[in-house]
Amino acid sequence: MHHSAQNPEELVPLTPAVFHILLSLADGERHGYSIMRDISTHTKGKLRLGPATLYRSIKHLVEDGLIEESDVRPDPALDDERRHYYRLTELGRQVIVAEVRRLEEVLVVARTRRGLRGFLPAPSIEEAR
Amino acid sequence: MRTPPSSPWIIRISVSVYRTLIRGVGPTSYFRQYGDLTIQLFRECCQDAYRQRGILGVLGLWFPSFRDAVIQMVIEVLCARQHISQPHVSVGTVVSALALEYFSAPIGIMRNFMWRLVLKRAEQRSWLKHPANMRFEQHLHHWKTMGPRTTHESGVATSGLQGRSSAFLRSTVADASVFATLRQTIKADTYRGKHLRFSGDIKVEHVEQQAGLYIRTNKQGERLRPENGVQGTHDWMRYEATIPVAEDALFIRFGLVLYGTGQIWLANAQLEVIEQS
Repeated sequence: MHHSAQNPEELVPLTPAVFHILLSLADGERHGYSIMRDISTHTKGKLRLGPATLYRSIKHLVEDGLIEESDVRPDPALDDERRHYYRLTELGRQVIVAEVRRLEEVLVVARTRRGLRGFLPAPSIEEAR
Repeated sequence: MRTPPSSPWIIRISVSVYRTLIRGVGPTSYFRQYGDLTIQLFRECCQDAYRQRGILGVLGLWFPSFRDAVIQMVIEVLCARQHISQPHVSVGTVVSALALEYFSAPIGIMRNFMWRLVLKRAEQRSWLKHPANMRFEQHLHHWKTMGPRTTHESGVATSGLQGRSSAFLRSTVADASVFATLRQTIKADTYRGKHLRFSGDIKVEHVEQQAGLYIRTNKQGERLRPENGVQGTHDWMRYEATIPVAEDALFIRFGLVLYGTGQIWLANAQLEVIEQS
């Protein structure tokens, strides 16, 4: 995924692992274990990344400039100093937004399908406007 | 970054196995850069599982984590070799990649070996005790054409010598430089220690290199040069080839051989035991 172009639209769709890692970092810096726990929590246990999947994804996200290692470190007394913290870059933020918009468009299309009516949640007030 | 000695033994063992997998399967570059982080994350998972369910909790991590490590490291190896990055790969791709990278050579060798064994057994079962269909009344039943199908072909002509059927072997391309054979194989059991003569009426047309009758056993290696090779164009003529059959011979193989371009016909083929003076 080495992209010379920095157009976020060209980097989507994302794989589930990458999407959820970026989503997990949307609120700020996290270390590997925290990302893993957060993904498991916000997917209600449906997506459990293994350590190797997580760090291999992180490796490529760093290489592609979507995330970066953070210099901000918590108090060593409160945390394991061996942990590395990661945060979204501006490109990473644009990519996750682009992916969410893409998924929104998919949802809109899905809601127009008669065969799926009644199976999908109704749009919120903001969406209906 | 070793697991502290104070950690439960099950965590120390688990981390040790995990480290071996990451280091052994994955590329060095990954291990140098992310090896410790990946192992540390696995250790934290183990500690979490141990707190919740004890030893069973840690053991429950083994299969998914070890499988994840092997698959991801194999993909990383492939990515490193192909200079690409593909953070997510389907299970099918991983299985293919695993097979391709680590098992294709041994599997290929084993498959070829087994296939050859099966073919050999099947071929041995097809060997006759005695020659059959020597007049080609049953077309090419019991006869086999060996050689490149793109350059040579065989068949039976019904308007042969004295109106009898004759088998032919011919080149189909102008630049055929390899050889082909039309042959029959029989078991050597009843012919061991004896001399055999394979004879037949031969006609050749535009044979550029050499053609003729041959007979051999498995003791003669792969030598297929006909005893009385012919070239050019000749009408029907009787030829013969003789051979001693060793006491430990397995099979006897006889037929036509054609080197290069041209066509050769065989009629009235005969295999007989001869007295050796």
